[in-house]
Amino acid sequence: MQVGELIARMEYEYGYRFQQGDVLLIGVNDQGMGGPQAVLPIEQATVEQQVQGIHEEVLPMVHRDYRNLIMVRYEEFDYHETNGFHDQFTASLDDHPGGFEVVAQYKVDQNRQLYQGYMDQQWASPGLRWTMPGKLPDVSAQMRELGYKEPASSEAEYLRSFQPHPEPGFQPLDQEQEVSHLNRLAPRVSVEVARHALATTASTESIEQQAKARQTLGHLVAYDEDARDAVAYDASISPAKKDALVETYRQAPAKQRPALAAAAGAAWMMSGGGLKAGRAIMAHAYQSTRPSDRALVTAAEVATTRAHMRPEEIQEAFGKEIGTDLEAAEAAHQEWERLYSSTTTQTETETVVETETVEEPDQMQLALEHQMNQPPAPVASSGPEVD
Amino acid sequence: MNQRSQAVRDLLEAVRAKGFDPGPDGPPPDRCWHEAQVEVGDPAQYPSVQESQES
Repeated sequence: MQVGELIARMEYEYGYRFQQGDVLLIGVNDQGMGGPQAVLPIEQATVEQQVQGIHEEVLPMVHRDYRNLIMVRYEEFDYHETNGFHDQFTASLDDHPGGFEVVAQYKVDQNRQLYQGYMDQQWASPGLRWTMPGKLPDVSAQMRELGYKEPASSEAEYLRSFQPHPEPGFQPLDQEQEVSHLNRLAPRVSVEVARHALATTASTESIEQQAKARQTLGHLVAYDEDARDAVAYDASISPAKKDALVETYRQAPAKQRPALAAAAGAAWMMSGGGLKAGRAIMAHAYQSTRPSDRALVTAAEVATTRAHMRPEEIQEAFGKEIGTDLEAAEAAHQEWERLYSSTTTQTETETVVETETVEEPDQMQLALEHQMNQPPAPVASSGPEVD
Repeated sequence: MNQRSQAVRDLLEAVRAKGFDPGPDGPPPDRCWHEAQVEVGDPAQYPSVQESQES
């Protein structure tokens, strides 16, 4: 893969087009693999503040596996530039115990022309020089094939896609009998009903069943902290469930939004998702009147941004006691059918028939996990972050 | 009343095991610099970058 292609792909990883003034850092290791990345908009801070910010927040994460950095600056080409950021940043790395080094640097101008920098010692004023430009490759077709969405036109537009919808997409459960029944479920069953609701939200194409699943999920996440934690964990190891949980938070009625934002925000952070999008979600959780919602997102944020734990480490620690209780899962499945049999469509009827023979993939997976007597293995958090 | 669930307590314990004090619950203080957007990529998707650096 050419570096130009790697650079072009980063906008798809992040979900938005980089702006003039942004600085992109890409960690590479001895095998030349692309690793953790960071985008730093520099227009709102001094060079010193930016360098400090990189040292505090970015390098500890890059340090995990990657010490060589590719630096890409999005700015107008200027042969007479002072290289203030470059000089201060590379100088600051000299004293860093991590042994980081900027091994290559590039510029992308607003016409998406790519320049590569090199050190020239031959002339009277040795220093950084730039090659003749080439066009930044168009990777849209291959990224679409990999399942990525077209990047938003700006970071602001991208972050808007993590804000609540103007109008709720579902209402709280209004049947007193149903609410009362859910609230009286045994704790372990309640947790499994919530997990089942999330799985349904992520997988069903039935609009009616999805709405019911979101109502149930919203109710239980707001009512039962263990259910909230279990769905946050499930979503952190499954991109489809994470997307479903984020969308449920966005559609939630105001009363349930903080609890769902806590679950979705924690899942987002624990999956290794981008920091700004995570914080856009978690901002709604920090408004929760339930202290444990605030505690959950604080823990997820601290583990990621301060303790610099890998997604897999966070998932393992958080999910230590969130195993799968097969009996509770079976009871939850029966509760689900009992509660929502009236909304069953033809497609759902076929599903019910399948589950009675315990052949549904979820049930098989649960049985396997139970047999191994351990929580579900974390799934790699990589892949497209497309919401 | 304990305001942290078991899973949150487990996670905070892991944070402490890393030698970090989690501090009080709540959002982090505002920073004076514009924060970075950090993501963790999938190395498997980016083979052979180093070769092209040398070209």
